[in-house]
Amino acid sequence: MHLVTKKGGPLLARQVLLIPFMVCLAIGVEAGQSSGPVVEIRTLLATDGAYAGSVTKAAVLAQIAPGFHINDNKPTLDYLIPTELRLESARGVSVARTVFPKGELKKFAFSDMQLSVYEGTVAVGVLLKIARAARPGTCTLKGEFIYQACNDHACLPPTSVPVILAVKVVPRGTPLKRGNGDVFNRIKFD
Amino acid sequence: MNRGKVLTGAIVAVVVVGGLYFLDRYWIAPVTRRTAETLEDRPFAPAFSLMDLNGRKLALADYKGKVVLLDFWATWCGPCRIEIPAFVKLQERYRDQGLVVIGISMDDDLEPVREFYRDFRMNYAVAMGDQKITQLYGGIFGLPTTFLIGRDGRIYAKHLGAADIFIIEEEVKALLAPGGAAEATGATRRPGGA
Repeated sequence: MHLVTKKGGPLLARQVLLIPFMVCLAIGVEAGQSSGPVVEIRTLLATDGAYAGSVTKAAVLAQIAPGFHINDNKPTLDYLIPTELRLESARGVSVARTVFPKGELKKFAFSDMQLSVYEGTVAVGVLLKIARAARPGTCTLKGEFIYQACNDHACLPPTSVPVILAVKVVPRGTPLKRGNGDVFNRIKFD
Repeated sequence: MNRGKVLTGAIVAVVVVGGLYFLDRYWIAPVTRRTAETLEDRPFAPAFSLMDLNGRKLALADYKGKVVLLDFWATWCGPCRIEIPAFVKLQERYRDQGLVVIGISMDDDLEPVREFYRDFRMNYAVAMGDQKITQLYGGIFGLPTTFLIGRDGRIYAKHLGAADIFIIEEEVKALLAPGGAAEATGATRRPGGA
């Protein structure tokens, strides 16, 4: 088979050979995606800044892979490993409170009773206290989101995902812009 | 003419490659994953030596000539807790025929395992697992993971996740049967309990 023909042969050959390559690439991506992390984390702030001496709201969003669940922060049974969020206080900012949502009651093949679990996306609220003496700039809290995931038939070992929360301290009087209302309106901080 | 043949060949190649991939992933692999079909797929079970719940040595080599059901589990694993009573029954039913069940707990702490052992009236040896043994057994990514080892020391089955106990029992019976695997004599060890 001679690919280089008189009329645009090399270009055609390149285009033709690209097709199987793209298919193999797609298959590889699909196979790779099926073995990705069970929980992915992102963080949000209710406002784009905070004043010294104030309390500001943050959220840690955990996206749980389809087919898996993680246990409620207050698990139904004492042998279940709870989902936790641990954040270390940093200079100028500390954690006042962490608010976990109520889990969803679900029945699994391995349990006689319904278990309270998280599936899909979970929003964990964090109330942050900015120190009176905090100077304008970015304060960063570091921590981890700890969980133990199962599907209907098997369980993965407990593990954690790093969490980084960066809060921008601004001079008092600076206008603050609110955002992510769809997330923060669902979190029961009170 | 040549252009048409090249295009046709490429399309056929794509269809064949894609078809083979999805055929394997969604039809062949789920079936063959459970049991080994050829001798080449029946590796020898890696040797290990761990401490049981009483602090005594538990080594796979002590069970030479026995059929071993090796179960990786943890007290926090719901599917494992469902399986274990069935393994207790299997041990009771087939002990005299040469079945040995061994539990490898992947818990971090000993005390919950001891408590579990008592509460579930486990009648077989349990040892605390570590990273070394999980690596020896190809990486244990989910619990429970259960291996069936024949009298010849080869791995005949591997179950990822909670398995149908009827399937496991049939596999045990097949391995215990004369000719199921090479027979060999070995020392009998009493199960280590809490």
